[in-house]
Amino acid sequence: MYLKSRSNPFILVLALLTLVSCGGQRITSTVVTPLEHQTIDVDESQLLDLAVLPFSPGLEEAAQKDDLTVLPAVRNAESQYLANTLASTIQQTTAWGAVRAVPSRDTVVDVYVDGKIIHSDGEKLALDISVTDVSNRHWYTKSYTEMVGQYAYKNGSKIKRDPFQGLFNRIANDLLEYRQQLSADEAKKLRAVSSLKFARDFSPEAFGDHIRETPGGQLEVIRLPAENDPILRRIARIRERDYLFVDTMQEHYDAFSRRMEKPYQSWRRATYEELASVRELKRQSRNRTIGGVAAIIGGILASGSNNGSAQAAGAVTIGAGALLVKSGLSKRAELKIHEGALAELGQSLEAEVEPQVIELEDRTITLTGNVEAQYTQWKALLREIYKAERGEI
Amino acid sequence: MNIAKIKSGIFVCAIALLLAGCQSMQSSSSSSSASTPSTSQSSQSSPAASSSSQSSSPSDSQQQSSSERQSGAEEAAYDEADERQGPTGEAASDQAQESGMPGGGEILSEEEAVAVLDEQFDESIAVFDGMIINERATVQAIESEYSDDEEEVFGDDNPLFEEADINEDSDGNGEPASPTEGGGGAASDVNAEKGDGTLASGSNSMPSPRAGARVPADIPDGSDDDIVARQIREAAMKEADPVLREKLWEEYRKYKRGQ
Repeated sequence: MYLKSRSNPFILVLALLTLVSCGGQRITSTVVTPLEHQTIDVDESQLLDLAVLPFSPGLEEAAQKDDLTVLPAVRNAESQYLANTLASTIQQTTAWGAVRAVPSRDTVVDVYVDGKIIHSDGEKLALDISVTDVSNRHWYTKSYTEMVGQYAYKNGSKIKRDPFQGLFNRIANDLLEYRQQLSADEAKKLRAVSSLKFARDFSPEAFGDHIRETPGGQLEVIRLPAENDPILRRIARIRERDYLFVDTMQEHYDAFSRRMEKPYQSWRRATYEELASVRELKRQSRNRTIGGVAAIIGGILASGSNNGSAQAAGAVTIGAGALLVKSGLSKRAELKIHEGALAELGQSLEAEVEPQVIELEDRTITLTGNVEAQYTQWKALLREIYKAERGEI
Repeated sequence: MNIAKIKSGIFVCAIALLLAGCQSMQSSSSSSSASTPSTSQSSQSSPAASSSSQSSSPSDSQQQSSSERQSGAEEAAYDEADERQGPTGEAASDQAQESGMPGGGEILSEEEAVAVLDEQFDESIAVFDGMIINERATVQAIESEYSDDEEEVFGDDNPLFEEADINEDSDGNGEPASPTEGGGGAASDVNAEKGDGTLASGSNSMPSPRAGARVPADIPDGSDDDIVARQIREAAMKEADPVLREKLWEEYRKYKRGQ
């Protein structure tokens, strides 16, 4: 009975230390999800064009969480960079027609991919992805999260693929799976809707009654125009120009991604290392503080014993516990240094990418403005031609 | 004496009569020459104009009638033009102005109107293509600028390799002359080659001298170009494909002629 009561404090301390040391385990993916490819040839008439819109940077949510590590310029740059990376990955599945990053939904294509950045640093990427088609049908919304380990950055000084390529592959694979469930008729209908929507935008007089919006908000084809319709031929020429515009914008996005890649991947690597240090320091600080407190409690209990040696051991334990608590506090100070380093890394990247983001936005606004002005002129011309062909002028 | 007075009196009267007769002949000839064209006009004039001329006195009425006939002819011409324009004449002229038809009052058939509008459409397509080509050239310039920057980062090592090669070549001469030392003939030759090479690569990276050489002789200097003409001109100057470049120059000429 006596022995039992004397050993209790030590058992308690040991149990606490064991529990503390077990905490803080992380699960990271070690296998990159492979990208699936379209194995069966798809007829050209069924190939759907896909557009990836710039991701929402998720700054409002970050502000609500008071997350100071999220920097607006970096997030804005990521919203373009990640969208372009996803577009590039989807294109590689060979299941789609043209896959492009586009500035807005004003560009008429068959399928649209929207995204929102929930979390992004060198260790974790979380995205919400939503897919809709040109007929306003919502395909699906899904959340994707991936944590990477040290292996993702162990390819030497040059990173050959994105550390989160597995996440982009998963998104592309899900899209492929959904696409494969669509019948040939559905694919052709989608293409017809996008063609007629584009034609209606340019010549509502000629194509206003070819498609209609259902009460549910979806577009459906009412009738198809004649293949030799002269207005349709002119609109086909305009659409070729629209493709040229989209391709030119894609070149801008590609140039932006190439310029951003090096500093961005360096930032990811550095944040990964800093975050690993921060996590380790947090764990050590917590363990030492808890261990120290437990040792102090155990020592106090032991010093209340009638046994002299137990009292001496208790005093020693209290001293050791105090040292542990002090060490835990010093780890917290060290932690603040790493957190400051993380903030500095973000600011450094922000300073580097902000001019590029501004330049890209400037280019996008200028080119889109010029194109829209030209489209307005074409719409007016097509209206005049439509009237002239019907002898209305 | 009386007879002589009578004779002189008769002579004076005769001269006076002759003078009077000459004056009357001059006035009649001048009035007849002025009335000749008005007679030809009167055949085209309206009945109201001709009736008004009949009611006037002969001398005054000729001048009055000629002016009235002129105004009548103008009215008739306007009436005729109005008749030709018909009820849609105003709309057609407005349309011509809106669509920029050549000669606002010119009447075009449906096919001709569509052809004119199609021509405008083709021109705007060419302008758009020029803008896109221009934009792509800008992207390429950004890309090349970035790749140049990248080369600069890694290019720090390149001179070391070049110097190492030079050193190997001049191995037998003992200590090689560094570019900063000068003096050695071989070293100065190498420097000269290096300098030429740098200049050559620099001129290659600048598009303007090459572009200037591509401007055809009949193209003006472009000092009075508006924004559209400038875009077509720049696109043509930057275009590498000679066929496409000539098309762009043709568009430029057409646009300038239209101006």
